[in-house]
Amino acid sequence: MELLNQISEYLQQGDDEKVFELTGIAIKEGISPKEILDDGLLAGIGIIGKQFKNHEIFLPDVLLAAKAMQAGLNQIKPLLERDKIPGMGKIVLGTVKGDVHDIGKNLVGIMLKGAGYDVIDLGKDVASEQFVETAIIEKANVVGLSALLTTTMPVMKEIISMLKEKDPEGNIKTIIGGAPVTKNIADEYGADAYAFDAANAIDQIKLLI
Amino acid sequence: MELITSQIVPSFSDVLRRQGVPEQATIKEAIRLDFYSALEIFQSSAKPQYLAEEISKEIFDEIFNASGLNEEENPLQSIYSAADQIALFVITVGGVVTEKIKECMTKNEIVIASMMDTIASLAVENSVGLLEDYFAEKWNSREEETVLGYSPGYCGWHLAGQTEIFRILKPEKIDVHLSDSFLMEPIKSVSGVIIKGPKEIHLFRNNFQFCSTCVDHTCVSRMKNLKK
Ligand code: B12
Ligand code: SF4
Repeated sequence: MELLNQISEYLQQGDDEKVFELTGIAIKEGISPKEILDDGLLAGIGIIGKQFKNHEIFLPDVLLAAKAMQAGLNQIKPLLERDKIPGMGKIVLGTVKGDVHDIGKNLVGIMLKGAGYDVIDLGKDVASEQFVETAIIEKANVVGLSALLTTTMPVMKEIISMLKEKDPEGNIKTIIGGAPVTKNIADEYGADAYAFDAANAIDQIKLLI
Repeated sequence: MELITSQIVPSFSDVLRRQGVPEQATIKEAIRLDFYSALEIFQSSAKPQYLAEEISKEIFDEIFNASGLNEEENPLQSIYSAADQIALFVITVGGVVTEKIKECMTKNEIVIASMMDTIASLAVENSVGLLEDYFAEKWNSREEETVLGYSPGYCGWHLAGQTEIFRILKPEKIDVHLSDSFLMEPIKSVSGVIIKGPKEIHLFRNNFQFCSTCVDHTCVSRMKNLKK
């Protein structure tokens, strides 16, 4: 549909005002919020994700598109909730206790929100218990942990173990990241996934949920 | 020395580089405009301040080893042992900047928020550079000598080292506080030591055990600059 293609196009250009306007028109024209989401917004951000992975565009371009995505998403969100259309999933995110490096974690949060996930960002220097409690109370699908100091990396292991104790069925998955973290460390800590950057985080989380 | 915001702000190209944008990439006008908006907010909200104090090698030795948590083998031990002059420092651009970044995030001004974040990080790092220059001049650093900064958390010096730096400098005076997990509040702050000595003392082999988890190998470019 032409209108939805246009939404996708403007989103890719990072034109939040146009995306806002056209999403409004699409709603008025009676296009279902699910269609607007899938064929307009998510279609556009999907292309952005691929271009980013292929190094055709870079971080500021992605953020510009994510901002446009939010502008559209904010309009259809109440409608999706009204129609009880389930979201992509709920992610609890934060930088572990003892670490203030949150730039990377923030990017992961922005990209996840842009991809349609519900993100509960607990911030930085977050107590281990808070991750576990929030994940359980909020019935989160995934807990995402970030650490940039080698001294705070082991805290992630502690959180993963605590979570496994409180959620023995393993309904809540874990993903970890941060510059010094590797796939090997994720395996050693018992995390369900590892991602090296924000675009990869979306791919990995898709596989988890 | 007074830290002046206009002297520590990074250029647009520095910010793009830190955000991983290659030099030849085409930059959308909206991104350029967002950078200048971010710069403006940063300039009106940053409050750069520092504390620095010269100390003897013996006192630094105590400070360095106080936590007992450093890596057994580390480059700094031999660097400061051969140093001529040493000063401790804490630098911050203040907490209002972080609040402004959060505000932009909440208003969905994601690009501005991310630009401000990078500007603030680079501004703190540039401030350390200015402090190095200041001490180089003050200590009459000669051609064959150099003045370089090192921080707890880097290269085998445990983060707990910040406790000792705080005990001596008392940065609470400039509103910088240390949490019980050794983190500084405001976030955009850096602490450490500035060391003057012959260039060769700052050269070392970066094959310590902890180097395997190092993300940016900053020692490489620093040592390359020294050899020039
Ligand atoms: C910017 C920066 C700062 C800034 C502030 C950061 C902030 N939050 O605002 C400033 C200059 C203030 C700073 C200060 C300090 N820093 Co610092 N800092 C950095 C630096 C240069 C870049 C980090 C960054 O933002 N990268 C960009 C983002 C986009 O990348 P990223 O974080 O890796 O995130 C990506 C991926 O890792 C992944 N990811 C990240 N999180 C997650 C989470 C999940 C769930 C997933 C799936 C993926 C994922 O996706 C992200 C997006 O692509 C790093 C060096 C480096 N190259 O990493 C040092 C570094 C992290 N800092 C370091 C240190 C030691 C400090 C200090 C303690 C130094 C000191 N004594 O003063 C202080 C502490 C400040 C405090 N308040 O207590 C050391 C840590 C050493 C170590 N490994 O233990 C580093 C590695 C520098 C070094 N070479 O030694 N720092
Ligand atoms: S490789 Fe990294 S950890 Fe090792 S000495 Fe160089 S900067 Fe420090």
